[in-house]
Amino acid sequence: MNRPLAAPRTPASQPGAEPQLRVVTGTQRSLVRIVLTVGIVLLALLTSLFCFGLVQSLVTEAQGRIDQLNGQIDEATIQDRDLRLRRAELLAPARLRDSAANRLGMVTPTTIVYLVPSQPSAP
Amino acid sequence: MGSGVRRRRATGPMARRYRSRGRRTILVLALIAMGTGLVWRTFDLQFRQAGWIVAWGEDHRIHTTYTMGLRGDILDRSGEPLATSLRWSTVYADPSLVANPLAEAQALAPLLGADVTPLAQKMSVPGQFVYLERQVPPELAGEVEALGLAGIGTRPEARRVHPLGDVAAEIVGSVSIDHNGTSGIELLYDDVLSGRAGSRVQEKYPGGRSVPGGLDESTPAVDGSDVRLTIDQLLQFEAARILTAQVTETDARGGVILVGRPATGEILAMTTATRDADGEVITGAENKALTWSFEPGSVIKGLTFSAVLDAGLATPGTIRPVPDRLVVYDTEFTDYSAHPTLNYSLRDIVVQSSNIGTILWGEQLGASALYDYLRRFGIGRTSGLGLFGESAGLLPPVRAWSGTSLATIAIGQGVSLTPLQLLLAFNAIANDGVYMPARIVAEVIGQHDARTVPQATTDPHRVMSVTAATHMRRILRDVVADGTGRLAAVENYEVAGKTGTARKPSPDGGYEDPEGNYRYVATFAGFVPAGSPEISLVVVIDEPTTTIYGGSAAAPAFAELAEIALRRLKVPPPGPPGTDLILASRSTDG
Repeated sequence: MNRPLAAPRTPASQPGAEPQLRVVTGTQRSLVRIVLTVGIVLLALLTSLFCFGLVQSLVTEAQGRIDQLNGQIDEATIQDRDLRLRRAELLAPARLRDSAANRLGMVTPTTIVYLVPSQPSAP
Repeated sequence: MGSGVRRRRATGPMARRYRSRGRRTILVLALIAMGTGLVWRTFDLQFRQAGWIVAWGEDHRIHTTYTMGLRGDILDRSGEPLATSLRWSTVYADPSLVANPLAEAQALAPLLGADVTPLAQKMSVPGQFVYLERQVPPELAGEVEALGLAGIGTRPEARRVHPLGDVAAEIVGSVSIDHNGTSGIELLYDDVLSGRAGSRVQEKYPGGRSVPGGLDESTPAVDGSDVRLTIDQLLQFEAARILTAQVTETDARGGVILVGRPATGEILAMTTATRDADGEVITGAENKALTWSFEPGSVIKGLTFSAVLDAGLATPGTIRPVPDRLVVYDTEFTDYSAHPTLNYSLRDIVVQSSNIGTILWGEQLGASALYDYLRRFGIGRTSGLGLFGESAGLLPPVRAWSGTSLATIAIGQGVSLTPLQLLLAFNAIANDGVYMPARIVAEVIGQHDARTVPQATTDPHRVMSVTAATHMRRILRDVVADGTGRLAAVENYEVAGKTGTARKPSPDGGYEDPEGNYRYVATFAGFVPAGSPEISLVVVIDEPTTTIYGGSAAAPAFAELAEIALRRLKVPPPGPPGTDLILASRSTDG
């Protein structure tokens, strides 16, 4: 029985095309992995920090806006109260009577005319 | 030449080793000392001084803002404010922080309109808080803050205002400077009207902006509930105006006007006129409509004959002979004018306001029955409104009556009642014999527009039959059409009512003062339209002098106010059968 030919374990050396290979030890592989992991973690951390900072700045801006709106609500509430008071003062019977009599020259009517509404016509 | 011996430094390996070890030791010791110091300082800061450091930090970061819960409004029946509160401020000082009281007082005085010296004195008293000026407008508070004076600050404080001036002031009442009710509705509904203060604790940057995600806890302030009254601001104003004019015209001591709705017991207007120290007639100072009881005189005959009719003793046409004078026990009673013995119908007795006729029917009714009917009309007990100082009037129990009590009470002497009791009693006649408890608060409007209607403390009850009430309304209509109440007539409407002219008891007893003069109370009580009453009114003029009679001192004010009230409530005059009239125009040339 013929035994098949085994492939050569090392490539045949060719002049000018010497492969730049070296034996990497387990320690070196671990180191690379660690460096990569740390790098990724650091990158993730930096990204997270950046995102956190971004969110923080957005929250700060929103908080400022909330403060501003709260201030506007307070001002509007005070203004609303003032306007309601002013409206009531303008509608005060004493003021209306005074304006009607003294400014517009109005007088109380002496006679009142009432009408009998006409009956609706038959369809 | 050197005098000393120069010590040469050892340079051998051993010596170098020793020196190196020594430096290391010193270095290690120094590091240990530093480390120990750091640990100690850390311990010191973290544990021993932590309290004040945290407090210091919080003092600078944590800000507490107090917000006030405003006192609720008191509104008229259409929702217009009679009393409301504004967010104003109070200027205060912390004297412990005021470095130069005189300089700060000089800066503040022009703004506060105060003198410098007393202001500086306030800032110099020991303590950490003193009021400088209470209840100042927000703009002024801003100007004070802008001065940036050390130890001077402002804090929110409400101010109670009355947009309509003194209209309904006697009903609304008043509050103290600390916003506690002291009289009127302000006192009666103090718990409901009072707001609850709130606070907000926030973490802030030095610039004043909130720290995002920082501490932010708030207890919201809660405004007090609003109280809507049954009072109509326009009718209240007109009642005060007309009463003031009538008291002035009759040169009276004062007066009371009440306007109500018979079907519901609602009070639409309630005003009192008095004279101030200068003799000027003023309104709004006190509420005599329910604190003052007086002997009503003939106006009570409306109640006496309601009882006679309801007891089935007579009809309006029942006739009996009536002399002009009558001796009861030890007292002679007379009619207003002398007349021979006449055959008066019951209607005639009321229309002519005959004392003798009333006494005769009263005696036939009997003391117990008269007392029971008057009690059912609400005489001798408070109305249940709950307002402070309300009088129950005076209706003595039958066992305390003298030999003349039945006669005097039947004609309105020896019994006293408040104007409010009189209104409610006439309301019962107008309301087909059913007594309706008085109502002055329509509803309480709480948070989120939650509305509650206060329950009356007394229940409606029937005083007399519908038939008796209908008979009495017709008789009272005739009093205005043909009798003593003609000046209460309102054009286009039928008015029903009764006059009263009563002597006032003298403080010394009897009715005559030391100079031999009598003082009177003139009254008119009634309702309109007579057929289906929508409005009831009572006018009481206290001690009129130009005319003393209810028919001339009180009735004209009734007519003037009734006409306004009818228009205000859009009550049309009765038209031809099956029609309602429409107000077309008013003119001044007719």
